[in-house]
Amino acid sequence: MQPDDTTDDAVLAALLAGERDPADPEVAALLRARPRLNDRFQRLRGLAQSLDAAGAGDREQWSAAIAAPTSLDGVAVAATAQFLSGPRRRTLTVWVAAAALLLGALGTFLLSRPPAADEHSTLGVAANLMWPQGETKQYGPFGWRHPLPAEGSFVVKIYTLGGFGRSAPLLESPALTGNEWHPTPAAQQALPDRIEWVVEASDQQGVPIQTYGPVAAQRVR
Amino acid sequence: MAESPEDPALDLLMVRDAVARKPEAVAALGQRLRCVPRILSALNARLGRPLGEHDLADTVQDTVVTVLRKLADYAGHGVLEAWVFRICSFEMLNAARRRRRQHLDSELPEESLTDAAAAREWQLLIARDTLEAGIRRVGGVEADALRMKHFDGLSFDEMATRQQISTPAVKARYYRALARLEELMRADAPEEG
Repeated sequence: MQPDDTTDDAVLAALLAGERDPADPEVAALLRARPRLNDRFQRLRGLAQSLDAAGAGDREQWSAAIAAPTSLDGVAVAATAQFLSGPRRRTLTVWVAAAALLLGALGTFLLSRPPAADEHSTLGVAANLMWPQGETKQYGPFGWRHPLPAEGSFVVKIYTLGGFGRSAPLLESPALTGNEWHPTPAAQQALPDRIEWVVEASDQQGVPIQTYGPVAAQRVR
Repeated sequence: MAESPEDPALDLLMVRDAVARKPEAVAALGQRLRCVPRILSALNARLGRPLGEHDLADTVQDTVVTVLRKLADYAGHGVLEAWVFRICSFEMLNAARRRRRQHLDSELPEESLTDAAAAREWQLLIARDTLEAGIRRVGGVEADALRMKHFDGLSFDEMATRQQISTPAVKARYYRALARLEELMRADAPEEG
């Protein structure tokens, strides 16, 4: 092996990933012959051991801690409910007030139409802006209620759960001008059972200007 | 709905649903975040109780809000409690430091660190925080690789699946991350001699 940085990195990477053993005669001879390489290996191995110890310490501490209830447990429950419910209630109030005004104006029009069969109706209390969300028997179609930018388009991007912002999408729609996308059955079938997805709104040049989501969905077979 | 730590993917699903303010998920998350007061109480005890009852209650409240504000950062690489523990450690260290500074400013006798075990725990927590700060500086997918390997206990194959790259690529990424962390920590270490 030649004493250059690339070779050193390859050797160190293999040692630290456990692919090569420092006790292997060839590796041991190399480390003896190259004190600086050996120093670096020892420092990196020491750091990896410190990280292992920290991780084990964390696990030991949190697993012991969570088994012991405290008098402050209710604080966490109440703070969570307040933090994640408060603004929603205010938003809901505004929407209800706005809906009441609109209903008066649209009443005749709405009454002249048959009841909507769409489970995602905007008038439903549990209406979602994007679907599917949560548990679902099948993923498609992917739908949303976000506004289309003037002369713009939407693109749906589907990721493995937790993959948004970290990895490439598993599946991506073409540019769409409607609010729904039907991937082929084969494409849907190929998706994992836990996904998250976004809908990206782009301007007329195709430049993304808004990303809605991610929302998560779990396919229950 | 996940109520105990076992499946990070289910935890992530619950967190995403809670962020979307689905009532069931919000309720389940509230139950799971009871780990915050439990972890903080345990840390406080290990450190020789630097925080009194009221300070601890304030720290619990602040930490729960911090966790809720950071929910979007939870990527489901490990169980929720492991992720929350790192936030709790950081918040406890800060709260205890503030408390110690107040003691020094007011020239009150030191209440905490009165025994060797608490002093040792304090040093461990500082060392742990230094590692975490270094990992944050490494940042991005490299920091994720370090956390998955050492804190979430994943194998390289599992890491490759989570990061959606090949196993050799994740090994190379891990090595780069470790080398970068070592470089950062060496640069920050006080010179010897």
